[in-house]
Amino acid sequence: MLENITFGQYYPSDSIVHRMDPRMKILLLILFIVNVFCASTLYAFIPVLLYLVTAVRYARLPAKMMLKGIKPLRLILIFTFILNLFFIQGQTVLLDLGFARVTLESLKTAVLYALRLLFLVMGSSMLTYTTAPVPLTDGLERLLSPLKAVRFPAHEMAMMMTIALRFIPTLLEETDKIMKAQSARGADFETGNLIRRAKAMVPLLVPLFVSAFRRAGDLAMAMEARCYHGGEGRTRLHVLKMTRKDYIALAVSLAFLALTIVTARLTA
Amino acid sequence: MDEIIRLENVSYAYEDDGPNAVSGISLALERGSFTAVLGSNGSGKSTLAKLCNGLFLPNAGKVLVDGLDTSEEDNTWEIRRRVGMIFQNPDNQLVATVVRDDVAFGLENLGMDPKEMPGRIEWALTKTGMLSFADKAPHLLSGGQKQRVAIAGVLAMKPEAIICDEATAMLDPQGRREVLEVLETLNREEGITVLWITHFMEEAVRFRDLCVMHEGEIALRGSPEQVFTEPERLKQYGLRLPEMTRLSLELRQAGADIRPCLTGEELAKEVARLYAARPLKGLTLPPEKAEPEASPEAESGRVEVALNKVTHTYQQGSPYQSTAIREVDLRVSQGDFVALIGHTGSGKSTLAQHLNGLLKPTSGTVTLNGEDIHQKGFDRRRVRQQVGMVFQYPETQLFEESVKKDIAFGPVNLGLSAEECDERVREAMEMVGLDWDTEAEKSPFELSGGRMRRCAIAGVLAMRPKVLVLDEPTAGLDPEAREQLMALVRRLHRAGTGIVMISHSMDDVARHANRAVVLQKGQIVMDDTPEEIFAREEALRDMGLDVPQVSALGALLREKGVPVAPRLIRRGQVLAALVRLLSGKEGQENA
Repeated sequence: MLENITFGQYYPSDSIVHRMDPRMKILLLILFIVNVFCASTLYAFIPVLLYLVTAVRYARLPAKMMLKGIKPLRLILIFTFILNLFFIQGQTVLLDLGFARVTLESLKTAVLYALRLLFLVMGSSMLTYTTAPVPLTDGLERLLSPLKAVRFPAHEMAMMMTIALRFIPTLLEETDKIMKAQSARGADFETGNLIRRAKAMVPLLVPLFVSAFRRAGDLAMAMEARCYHGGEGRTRLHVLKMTRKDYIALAVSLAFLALTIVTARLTA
Repeated sequence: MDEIIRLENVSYAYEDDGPNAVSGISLALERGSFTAVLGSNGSGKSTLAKLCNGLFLPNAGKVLVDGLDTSEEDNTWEIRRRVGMIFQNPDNQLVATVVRDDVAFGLENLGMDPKEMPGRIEWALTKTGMLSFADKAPHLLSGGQKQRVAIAGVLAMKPEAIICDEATAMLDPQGRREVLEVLETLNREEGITVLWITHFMEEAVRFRDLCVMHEGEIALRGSPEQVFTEPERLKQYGLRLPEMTRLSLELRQAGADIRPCLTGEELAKEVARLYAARPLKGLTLPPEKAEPEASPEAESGRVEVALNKVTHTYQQGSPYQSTAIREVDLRVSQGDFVALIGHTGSGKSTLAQHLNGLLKPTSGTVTLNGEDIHQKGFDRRRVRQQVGMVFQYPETQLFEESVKKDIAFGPVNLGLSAEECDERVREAMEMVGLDWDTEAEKSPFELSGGRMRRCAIAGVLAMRPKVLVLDEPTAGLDPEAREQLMALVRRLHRAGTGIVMISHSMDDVARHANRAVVLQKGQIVMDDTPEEIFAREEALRDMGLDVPQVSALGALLREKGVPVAPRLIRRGQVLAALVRLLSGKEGQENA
């Protein structure tokens, strides 16, 4: 049933990475992205790979799942690879097809970019695999809260994300119900050309919007009744606290970053 | 006297120059009191509730909570902490994705020290019996459970009073009981003042103090005994008597010396007392209103839908796989009035959605007049036209700019000509009691709740179905709208439409259906006349189902030695039987 859908890609477990402060995990992801971009030669990817493997092992994530995460991206990967392969200019020709040619330089660049993309995706999914949506929004809110000084609505954004997560299953259920109700009146959502199908969505979308607005009104009232008045003076049940493991992880990440930079320099 | 909430001559209007939703109300609630506010839709009872915690501020008059004036802005948050509120729709008041976090929401808003929160949350969840669900996602809970989480969220803030604004209107009978029981316990054990807004009369009898609202004013106030002896006035206010009170008053009308009773127990006691003194003289039955019989449907062209060994499994092959119905055999034809009953989650809706091909069986077949509707080349539209389907809260599917266009949606989809569509819209509007001249061009969203629902049903009737499936058609309606809607369903049945109705109201099943099908865990466990099914009270109770109030009364009477015949499930039948018994005529008839 629709109600069993889970969100994000959170993989529940009690590993040390799961228990880390979400703020640190977000910071580490940023550090990892820097790390990936510092890897400017193929050799420099060895420390990056080692780092990722270490992280995955400590998070006790099945390798299969990491690979599954890349699957939806395979088209983009192949596409950029081919694009780089044929359109980067270079001296050492490996293959000449007449209308296009592959050079050693273009092959190197293509592999490098593909690897970067791959690692970026796996690194970000590490965050979503090991952090449930609520701590994730909590972490984001608190990392962004210094920006409140420049009127950036960090709390409001996080609250919006939480509410969205809460209501997605409810709205999915409702979509299913309205779709069936209109089908029972002979509506047809499946056949016809694009315009016809777009038109067929009206009987679905209008009730859905009406209901979403009604829910929003109800919820706003319920929140006010429970003394919600914005982020000011608000405390949180889940107190985020950095512990030793967070600092160790930070140190390890910095060490790997240094290693990547050194390797890149040496093999440039 | 220690008052927690005090309204002094309060008026409120939604628009500046609009009519008053609440006008000139004065009301005082004592600390620790347990009060119900009754009223039909639009009587102003919800507005009253929202005035009590400062969600609405009075246009005139004063609202004091624990001596704090709601109109003073500085008081707002302290007032809302002291007076918590539970709303009607369980889905629309939970904020967080985990139960525990949701209960914390109010405490976080108050700026409570995080170290104190877990203890408070656990206490609140224990009090509402939801502790074992602390780490669950709200959308996986039942309606009653969601409301209990909402109560826990309010309770955690240690309020003085809790206002429930039709908190049970969208729940099944079990959820309704759960929620009311939790509040009764909180009132008794924690001394929390409860203000309970409702239009369920059966709930109202459990309160010590009733306020009846009508057109923005408090029209009646008193104990249930006082309020329910005014049937004429209640009717005028769009309310009805509780079934047992009605029966006791009818007995009194028939000449029996009986006081108005609120519950079955009271009534059984009273009747037993009278029975001991039988024969009573001068008892007469009011003449029965004869209801026209269902027209015998034409033999030719009789439509029959059948499920043959139908099993339906959701998400087959995934870890979330679940079988909703298993090997179900069911035959429904024109002329039937089948009530589909079962606990929430027993598979009623899944079964119903097979009747017109909205769901395809995982195994087994669905046939329309013997033809498999899922076979290749079968026009699905034919089954959608012949078997109409009215979902729960059908008004949520309205989308067109006018009533007329919305009702025409089905006929247009059938590919009918403009004239034909028009005619069907007129016919459907007339059937449901909407007025063509004044309402056809109106936006469906401007209609009142009850009329909106009838408009949605008209949209299904315009397809001229031979069999109509209704999923809890009266859910959320006030007593008058409920009565009108059931009258409509009866009319359709008399006109020869086969009816399949999912219902949690056993009183409605007893009153209207001529066949009842009981589902449990996806299987049909009983399929018989309502009389036979309700005779098996114990088996039904084991499944978490009720029996009609009059059946329960019959059982109580037999326990007390009053020999009412079993299998009487309608109030009229019981009344007649009691009058015969009390006047000592039963013996003669048997002789």
